[in-house]
Formats: sequence, structure tokens, C-alpha cells
Amino acid sequence: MKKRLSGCLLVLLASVKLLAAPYQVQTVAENLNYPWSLAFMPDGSYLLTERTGKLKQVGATGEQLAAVTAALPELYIGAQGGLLEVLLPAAFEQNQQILLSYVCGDAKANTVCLASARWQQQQLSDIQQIFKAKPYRQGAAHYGGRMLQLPDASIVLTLGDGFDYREQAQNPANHLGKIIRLNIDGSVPADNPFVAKDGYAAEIFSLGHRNVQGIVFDQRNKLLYSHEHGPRGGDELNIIRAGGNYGWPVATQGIDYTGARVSPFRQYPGMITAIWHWSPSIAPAGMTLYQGELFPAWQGNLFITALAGKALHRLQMVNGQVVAEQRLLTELNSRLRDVRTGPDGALYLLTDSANGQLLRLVPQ
Amino acid sequence: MQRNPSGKGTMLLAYIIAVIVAAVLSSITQSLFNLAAIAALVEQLPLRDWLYTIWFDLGSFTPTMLVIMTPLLLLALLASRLLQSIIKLPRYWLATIFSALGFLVALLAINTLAPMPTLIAASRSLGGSVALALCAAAGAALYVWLTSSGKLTNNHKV
Repeated sequence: MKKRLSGCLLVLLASVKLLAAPYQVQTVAENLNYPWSLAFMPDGSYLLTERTGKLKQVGATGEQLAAVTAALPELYIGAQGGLLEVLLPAAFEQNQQILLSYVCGDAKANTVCLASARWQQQQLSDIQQIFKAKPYRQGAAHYGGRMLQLPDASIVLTLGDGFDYREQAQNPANHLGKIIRLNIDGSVPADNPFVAKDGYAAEIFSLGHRNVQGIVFDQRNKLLYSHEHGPRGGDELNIIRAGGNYGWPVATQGIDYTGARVSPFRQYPGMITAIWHWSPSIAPAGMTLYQGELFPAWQGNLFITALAGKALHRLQMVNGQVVAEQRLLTELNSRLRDVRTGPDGALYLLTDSANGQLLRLVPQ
Repeated sequence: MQRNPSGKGTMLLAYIIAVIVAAVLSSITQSLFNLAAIAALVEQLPLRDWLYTIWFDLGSFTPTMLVIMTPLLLLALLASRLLQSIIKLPRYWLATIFSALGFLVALLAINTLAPMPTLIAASRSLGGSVALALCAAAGAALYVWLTSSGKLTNNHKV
């Protein structure tokens, strides 16, 4: 009897060990005011934006090295607007050039702008606005603002539909509800999909988006993933193709916050269907493709932080398809704004609050 | 207002009918505005999709409008009753004007307080806002008609 009980206990303990989280959460930095985006500096420190307008450099051990109020042309801070993404292009070590996406204008007329600047000796200099999305809109919601650099050195920047202007996501003449592609100086690449098409904004890379809050490139499989907020339900994970139309607001799995249908269509011919969707909504914000060494079991997985969902979503991918989903970090009960893979192979996250944190996930 | 119990019951019944009618009309209006916007983006929008969406919204969106219309019509109808002796206009006019204006003020308040710029999509345009306000006015007019003509009882003049 005793033997049997001991056996059961052993099995139970082994199960608990298997179920236990394979990671531990470390707090790198605190007292961040609505941190939005994170980049890794070559010296091991972190550069991050606060939506409320500051660019901060945090040392490897969490100490604040710099906090600069970004003097960006026409910077507008309100509701979802403010300083958004910071991107260190591949040539940063050579020229210290960074890119910053932000909301510019005022409460009655604002849009997303992109600025180039230099980050040298913990100061921001040579600030130049290199792109301004058209047209201006009223209200402070649905900006997008995520960006990344593709292997050909061009930049893709996500632009939201402005909430009240959702039908404009299907209008190819403007930038609302689009993903655009630019050269690093803000000019338009000659091989953009609509560069020579009448009635189309030359910067457009894809259209029919609502509010893209995460974008990542899978170099190995040559896939560009993005996710976007749906309304009530219908958050999407998409594989972005040049010239693709992703359907919003014609094709959506979601309904309006009031309960009304946005459209009768969940799919529509000629519009690309999401490879994964979340209903009810999780409000995805931030995404990384894990290719680090600290978590071998997570290789090739997509990690997506969720604001409303208050979790880190791990998506196991096979040939561009989601085969399994796991929710992590629910124990934090925090809105999660951004997730990145660090050069050390750890996952780094930003929590979304007036007292936000920079967290690091490392193996147990 | 009438003081006997059957009169109060009549008013309550008329009020409930008015709120439901206003909410249903505004749901249909909202659907039509949304569908017109989608129709402009696609090659064709078959009749069955129009009907499906209107039907869906009647079940899913009407509760939102009931929440808005219930206090709105109560306040508008009370105000029209109280101010009738001061403002020398027929009750029909007062009730419809107060409810329509009240709806527009409510929209403004909702959009100021809600996290999104505009809660009800149809109200993104002036035309949509006015159309929804007219639905509230229709509810108020229905209440006055039901209570003043004795349609719900054999009594007259509430």
C-alpha cells in the first residue's frame, strides 16, 4: 500500500514539474510610463519608447541611462497617440541612425509620421520627418505605427484606419488602414506593388487593415507576418503579401462594439483570409518570431502580447500555419504591449500601464 | 398625468412600446447605413445579405439602443409634459423635438466618454446622426399618439 502511495506521489510530482512554467520572469526596469516599443543596443542596453513622449535608454542591469523628451516635429500625444515605435536599422552601428514612428498633428487633425534621427551619446539629434501618412483624421485611435526593416533594407510601417474612417482601408488613394513600404530615407521603393498604378498611393504594400499592432519577418521561410485588432472579435494573424487586400471592413470575423455587424461577409473573393483569428478579441500588440537559443522548444514559434487578453500567446507554426496555441504569463494579470527576442535569446516584454515594466523571460 | 391605476398602466405600456419601436427603428437605420457603406466597396451586395444583416442587428444591436432609448425617452417625455404649459407648442412637437435633440446630446456624451471616437458607426456622419435622432423622435411621437388617442384603452386623453 505504502509502495503504491509513493508511486502515485512520484507520478504526481513529475506531472507538476512537467506542467510548471519552463521560464522565470525577471523585472529589468520599472516606472516606465506606457512603454510602447523596445530595441536592443549593440552595447547590451535597451532603447525604448514611452507613448507619452520619452525615449529612454536602460542599461543591461536596469538602470536608467537616458530619458529624452523626443522633440519630434508636430508630436501629438492623446489617447492611443504619441511616440510609438523605435527601430534600429541594420546600419545603426555605423551611422547611429534610428527611426521613430509617432503621431503628429493635433486633436482635430492628426496622422502617423515617421522620423529619422541619430542616437549618439544618449542624445537625439538630426531629427527629420521623412514620411507623413495622408490624410489627417480626427480622433486619437487606430494608428498602427509598428515597423520593421526587411532584408533588402526597406522599411515597412503599419498604419491604422483611424477608427471612424474604416471604409478608407479599401481606398487605395490614401494611407488609412494600410501597410506601407519605404526606403530608409522615406522615398518610395521602385518595386512597390502599386508604384505606377493610377489612383494608388505609391507607398502602399498591402491594404484592408484595421489596426496592425505587430509585424515580423520570418527570414527562414520568407514570410511577413502581421496581426491586427478586430472590433469585437476578429483579431487576425495574417501573412502579408505585396499588393494583398486583407479585407477590412468588408470581410471580418468580428462585429462592432455595439453588437452591430460591420459587414455581412466573413470572407470575400479577392480578399486574403487571416491564417488565425481570435474571437473574443485579445487585442494583440507586439510580436516576435523566436529564434533564440535559450528555449529550444520555442524555436520558430510566434509570440504575441495581448492587451485585453493579458497574456503572452505562443503560436507554434508549421509552413506558415498555426498548429497550436498556448497562453503564457496569465499569472501577471497585466496588459502586455510589446514582446521581442533579445540577442541573448531571452524574451523581453513591456507591460502597458502608467507604471510599466520591462520584463525578461529566461529558462527556469 | 392621469392618476388612476389603469391610466398609469396605459402610460407604462405606451412607453415600453415607444422605447421598443425607437430601438428597432434605430437598429434598422444603423444597419442600412452600414450596409450602404459596404455596398459601395463591393461589386454587389445581394438582398439576402441586406436582410441577414438587418436581422442579425435586430438581435444583437437593438439591446444597445434599448439602453440608450429607455432613459432618453423617459426624460424627453417628462420634459415635454412639464414644459407644455410654458412652451406653447403641441405635445407632439415638444416630445419629438426633445427626444431628437436629446438623442443628439446623448450621442455627444457617449462619444466623449467612450474609449473609441464614435460608438455607433452610423452616427459618424451628420446624416446618420439625424436619422437615428428621428428614430428617437418617432418613438416619442408614438407614445404621445398612443396615450392621447386612447388607442391602448377605451379611455381618452392621458
